[in-house]
Amino acid sequence: MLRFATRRLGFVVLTIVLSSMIIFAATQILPGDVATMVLGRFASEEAKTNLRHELGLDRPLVVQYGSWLGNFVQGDWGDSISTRTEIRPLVFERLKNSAVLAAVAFLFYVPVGIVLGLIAALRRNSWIDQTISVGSLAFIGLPEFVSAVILITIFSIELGWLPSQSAIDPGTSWVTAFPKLILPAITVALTSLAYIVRMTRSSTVDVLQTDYVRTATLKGLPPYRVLFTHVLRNSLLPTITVVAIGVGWLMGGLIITESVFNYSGIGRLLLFAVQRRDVPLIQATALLIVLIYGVSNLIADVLYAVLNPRIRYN
Amino acid sequence: MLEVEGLSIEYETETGILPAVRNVSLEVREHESFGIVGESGSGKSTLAMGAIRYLASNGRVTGGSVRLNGVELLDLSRKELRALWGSRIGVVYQSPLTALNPSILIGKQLAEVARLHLGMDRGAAMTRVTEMLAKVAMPDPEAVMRRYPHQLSGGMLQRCVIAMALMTNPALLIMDEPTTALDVTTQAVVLDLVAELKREFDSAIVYITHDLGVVTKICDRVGVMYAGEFMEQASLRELFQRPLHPYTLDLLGCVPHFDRSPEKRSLVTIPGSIPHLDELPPGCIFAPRCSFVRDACRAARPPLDPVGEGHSSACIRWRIVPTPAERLGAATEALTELRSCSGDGAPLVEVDDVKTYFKGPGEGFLPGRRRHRAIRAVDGVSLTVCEGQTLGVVGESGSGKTTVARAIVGLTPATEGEIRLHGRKLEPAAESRKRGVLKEIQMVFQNPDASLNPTRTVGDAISRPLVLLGGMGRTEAATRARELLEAVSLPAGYYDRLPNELSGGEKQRVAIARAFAAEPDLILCDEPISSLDVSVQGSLMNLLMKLQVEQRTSYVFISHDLSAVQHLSDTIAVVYVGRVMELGDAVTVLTPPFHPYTEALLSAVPVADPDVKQTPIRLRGNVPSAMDIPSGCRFHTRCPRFLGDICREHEPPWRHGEGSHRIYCHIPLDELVQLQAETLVLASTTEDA
Amino acid sequence: MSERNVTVEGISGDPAPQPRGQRPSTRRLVWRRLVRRPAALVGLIVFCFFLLLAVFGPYVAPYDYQAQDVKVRLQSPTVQHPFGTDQFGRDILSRIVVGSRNIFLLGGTGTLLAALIGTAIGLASGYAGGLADEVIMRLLDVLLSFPSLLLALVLLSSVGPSNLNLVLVVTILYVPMIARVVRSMVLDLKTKEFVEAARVRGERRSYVLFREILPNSLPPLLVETSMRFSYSIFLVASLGFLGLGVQPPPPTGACRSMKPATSSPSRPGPCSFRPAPSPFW
Ligand code: SF4
Ligand code: SF4
Repeated sequence: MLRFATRRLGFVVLTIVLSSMIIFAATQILPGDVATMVLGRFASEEAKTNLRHELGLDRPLVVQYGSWLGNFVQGDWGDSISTRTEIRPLVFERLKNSAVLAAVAFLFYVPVGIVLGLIAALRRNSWIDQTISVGSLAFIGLPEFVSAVILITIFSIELGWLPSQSAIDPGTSWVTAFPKLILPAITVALTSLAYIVRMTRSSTVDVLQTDYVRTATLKGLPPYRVLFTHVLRNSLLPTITVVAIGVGWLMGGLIITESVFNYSGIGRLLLFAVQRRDVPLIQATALLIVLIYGVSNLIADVLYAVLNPRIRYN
Repeated sequence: MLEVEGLSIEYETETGILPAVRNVSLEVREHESFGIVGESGSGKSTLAMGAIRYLASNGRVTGGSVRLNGVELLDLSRKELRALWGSRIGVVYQSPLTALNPSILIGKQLAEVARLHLGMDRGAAMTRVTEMLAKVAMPDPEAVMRRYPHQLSGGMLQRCVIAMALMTNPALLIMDEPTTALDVTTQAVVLDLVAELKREFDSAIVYITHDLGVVTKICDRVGVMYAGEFMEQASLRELFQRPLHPYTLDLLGCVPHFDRSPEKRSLVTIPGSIPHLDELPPGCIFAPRCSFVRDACRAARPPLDPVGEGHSSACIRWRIVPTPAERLGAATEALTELRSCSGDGAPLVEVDDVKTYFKGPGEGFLPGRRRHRAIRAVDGVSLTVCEGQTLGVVGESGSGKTTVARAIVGLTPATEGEIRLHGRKLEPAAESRKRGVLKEIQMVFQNPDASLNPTRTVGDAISRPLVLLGGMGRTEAATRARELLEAVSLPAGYYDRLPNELSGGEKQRVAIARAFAAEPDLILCDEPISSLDVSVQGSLMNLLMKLQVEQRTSYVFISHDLSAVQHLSDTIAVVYVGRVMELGDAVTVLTPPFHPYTEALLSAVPVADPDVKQTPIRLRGNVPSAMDIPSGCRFHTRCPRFLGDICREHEPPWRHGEGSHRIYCHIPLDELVQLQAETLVLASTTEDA
Repeated sequence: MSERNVTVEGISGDPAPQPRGQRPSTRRLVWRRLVRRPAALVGLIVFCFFLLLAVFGPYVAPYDYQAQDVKVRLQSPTVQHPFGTDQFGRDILSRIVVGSRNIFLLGGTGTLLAALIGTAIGLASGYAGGLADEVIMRLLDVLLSFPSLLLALVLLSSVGPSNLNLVLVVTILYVPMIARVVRSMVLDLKTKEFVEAARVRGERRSYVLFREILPNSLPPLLVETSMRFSYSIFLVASLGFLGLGVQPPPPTGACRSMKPATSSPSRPGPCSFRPAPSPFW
């Protein structure tokens, strides 16, 4: 078990290091000269050279990569080129906002998804199942900007229940800001919700057909006990993996959702950085997102193994 | 006791209603076990599960009555039914591993029954489970209760399931192929156990199986099912000695009998295949395949009528049904004499001290420093296959028998040792062998469904080796492929079919035709018949024998089924954990002296003849893993004739007997003969008659 | 059909025997498979939707896609402009609808390329096995460890959203996914007896790969590709929404007017990437 966890950890670290190379490589061949961007077109060549030297841009790429990664690990993420402020506090401030949004979304879609999936599986081929399945199909992969528009049209414009803009003033408490979180949270949750519903449904349907569920039924156990004792602990295992992968979609979804709703989170920060070609900021945010994604996958893997005796004892 | 009367069960499907079980009756008393025998599609499981009202949601009982100790099961509500399931009705399933929940401890799963139906608290239930596990002869019950299912072997798991089913001393115990997934030696242990528990518990047992041999071990009465109806019901002995239905008679003729006569005979074949439920013939459902059919048979469905004391048959012509001996004489023919390698036949393939090792799972964290234990799948095997003869290789799962065959054909290259064809050394890997060599060795695989490429037609499959290895042109190959189809008794019209339009037996025939297409000298048959129905097995064995006589091809026939191996082989090799234990002409291997392992196999084989007496020699424990081969004699951990330290510490010598007969054991041959005089007493009806 | 009808309260049972006789027609089979593999169905629906949009788009767009209206620049979604407006006050919905023809083409080309490359990698990697397979799969895993949109953003931010680059990004994103599907099929198929039979009769490796293995990996490959296709459309559309998407066909001379005079000299070309200033800062 420990060996399994260590190996998984090794793979995740390797993956993240390789990802950091990709991020670095992609941003470093970014066209456009940082010095020109910072100093403007009419700056003297000398000033530009100085700035490049100052930023370390005249060193070989490998050295630049090494020092960048080293600094990142040590917590020195450098300064943003466009805002001219330190990156780390900026990113963490945004990350905190996104985390709140993600948490609200998570608390909504995980339980709702599991329950809907279970209902669909237990009432297989009934109209409830059809509705849930078709509904979740419709949401799988629906781009966030489309679902956001639909939600805004219904709940803000037509019904006027919820605000369509979610810019939150610094200092407002989360409780007062909560209504602003609802629409973006739902938007960002829809895709993941659909996947959880589908995964829960199909794995539960599979488990319901196993021999051991037949054994449990023919033991004379009442249906609810068959479900809770024998079905759920096996059928919810694959759902764990989907929840972890869902974190990835969540991250992707945040980029769009935050810009639709004007929500100051990490996704919008990344977009801003991309639009301003703010290389250090792009690098830091992208790597952070990859890191979060990697860690959530690691947790899911280990959790899956811990909950599954077939892996635990091997 | 259980009384089923006129039970009918239907399934509603997209294309219509399928009458899976029609107007079926049976009766089982306390302490009695009733065997339901049938091939796949006979409805035997549907009948049993339908009787206790456990059906797929598209299945329903459409008539009849099922009474258990006088209670009509068909009138019960769901809730009342649940009170019976698990308490008055116990069920044992085919695959013990999937029948238990993989993520719950065994003890807890078993205790659930005691708590639910016996109203025990946790502690009492656990005590009860320990008692029950001890009753099914489980070594160390307490440790077993703290295990998960995947940590136990199949035999142990099946004992757990049996313990669970008997926990409440049920009135009815349904056993659905409980030993089919197990090895022969384990199967024998479980069958013994069931036979013993039958005396101790007063349950009525319904035992479902496809295996006519297994039936003889524990059933008192037997019913033979065919396409949803009983053809015949009789007491065990009567059914085997004097079957009064042509289907039973033919089924018995399909099973190879142990015999030591040097003559190789064909088996009885049943033409055609089991009818589909949506196109049943109007009269007798067996009429299209029956060799005694008359016009009267097709007029009306013959009912299951009494034809003697406790004997009933659904045949209107039961009076003319001959005895099994007569039928065997009339419907089978002598094909060849057994040959021995030492006498006639030059060696075709020699396998010389072949070893196949794989890298086992690694230990330790770091990739570079990980130690790998070797899996010694084949660990020094030497064999000779003679021209035009059959070498049978028999062994349980994990014996490495398949790996030997794959080494010969080059799919799993041998890591050490030499394989020679016509005296010339072969490259270990098929990829590095020359076309001319490849052409000489072909293979027929176990799984008919995976043997043929689902996207290519039958004709393509057979023509390809003709073009590639036989150097034929397209049109020539097509003509020859049609001939080959005919040779394996398939209509030439199958040429354009895709594999999914064929039955399992038909696919295997195509695979045989494909193997013969290259006109090889040797064909490796890796369990080619074990996944098929009894009657299909019989006809495929006939086909293999017929083609061998015509083409003078050699076979290596690999199987876990000793009766099939002895039926087909001239020479037999018995393998255990990667090494040959005994080797010799078929007749000498089947007569004492035996290697103690061969002896155990012979006494465990379920023989389809209630009169054959077998000394109960049972093996303890499980087949050791190929990563942990025991020291000295590798059989010593389980050997019933274990001698002590000498077996544990020293590799035994080869002891040479008659002709090419060799036994790998510390016990001298003459002592073995004395010890084993009575292992398998053949008192078959054929000899009495 | 492999699914049995089981519900906990309905009580399950043994598999019902399958009827023979009329086998369902191929068309029904395809339909049933589509329904059972919802991803494929979604792919089909999206495909059709965008096809319709591509053909009829210009007729249903609420505004002229290039009509500028400075009064409504950079608007968030409103009833008049459901998707908002861009920096020149052009209706984003109209631009998407009109751009859909391009989205369709770009996503399709990217997916097709990904399917080709992914299949090649999956086949080679799966059949070779061993260390090579391990290394290739690890590298592809790295690409998979990025949320798609993130990787697309990072890549596009560096090379700019030309049509070619969009296609390449879609390809890079989907190659690993398709390669994985193909590889797992290969791993499964290469131990199948019919493949071994081919090896035993000395077939060339290319024959085994392309005649025995590939045809049998097609069904899951097609499903995956159609699914990827629908996602690629969403992806390109999303990127468009973020200002990194398809460049609508510019009317003659419009390019220059779209580009502020201060455009960076390091990026020549009349219609290159111009990120929409976001309403962010
Ligand atoms: S009734 Fe006729 S067809 Fe049927 S089994 Fe008897 S003899 Fe054969
Ligand atoms: S050598 Fe010993 S342990 Fe091995 S088979 Fe002979 S008697 Fe048994």
